[in-house]
Amino acid sequence: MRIAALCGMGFGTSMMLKLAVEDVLAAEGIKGEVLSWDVGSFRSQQVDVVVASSDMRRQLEGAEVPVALIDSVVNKDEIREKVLAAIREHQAEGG
Amino acid sequence: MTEPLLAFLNARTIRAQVQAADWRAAIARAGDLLVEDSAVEPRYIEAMQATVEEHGAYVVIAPGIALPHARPEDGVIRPALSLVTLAEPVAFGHADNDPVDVVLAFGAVDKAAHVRALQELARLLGDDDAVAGIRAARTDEELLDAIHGTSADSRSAGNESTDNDDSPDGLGR
Repeated sequence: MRIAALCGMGFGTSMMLKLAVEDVLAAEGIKGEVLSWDVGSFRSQQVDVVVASSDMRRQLEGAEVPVALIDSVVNKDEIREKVLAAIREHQAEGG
Repeated sequence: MTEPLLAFLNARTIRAQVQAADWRAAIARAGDLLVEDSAVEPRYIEAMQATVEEHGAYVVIAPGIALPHARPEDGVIRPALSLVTLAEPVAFGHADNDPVDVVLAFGAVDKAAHVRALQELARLLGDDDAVAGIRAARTDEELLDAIHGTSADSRSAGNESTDNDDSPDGLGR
């Protein structure tokens, strides 16, 4: 499982998302790699699930993989819920 | 080991209840603290503003909380973080999380070095009580207490803040 955490520059917000998603994976016993990128570099990457700030909705329209859009990067409950939903969606697609 | 947040957020890098007319001014006020602390070059402030123009308001990472930043090569001298609370909230243009009244300006030198600070920051900002305390703080001293917890012995040095109270409503306690 490869998960991309995205923000405009790949530095601040995406790094906070990456840390939070890693916590979710560890707590749920899911094996996976979380990478933080800026939204431009991400286009050329192969990933299974995308996690990003909800403000990046437009940039991620038409994404080919499940996307978790997070309103509050510091809300662990919201992140867990949305990331797990996206992972389930990915698994349902037979990924 | 020193807590990164305790090291970064001190009397020089926080201000309570500052005046800012709009999001640009809010970023500038938070950025000014980093410039005065010789942590970033003045051009870093423009770079943070340009980031919002270019990529949108995703820097509003939680309801009412913005974390503006730019790239290391935009003028970061050393890793740094500042925090201002706004007397009047301003809109950043975020669909869900506006208006903003807590602004943290953040400068990184590379991806790895600031991870621990971001973890600490996520923990602080994920703590509703701590955030309520940050918002409620009327003075810089109250703000430092809210950031670092109320236990006096956990406070870092440099608490003897000078009379930097330039906020018009600096009424004290």
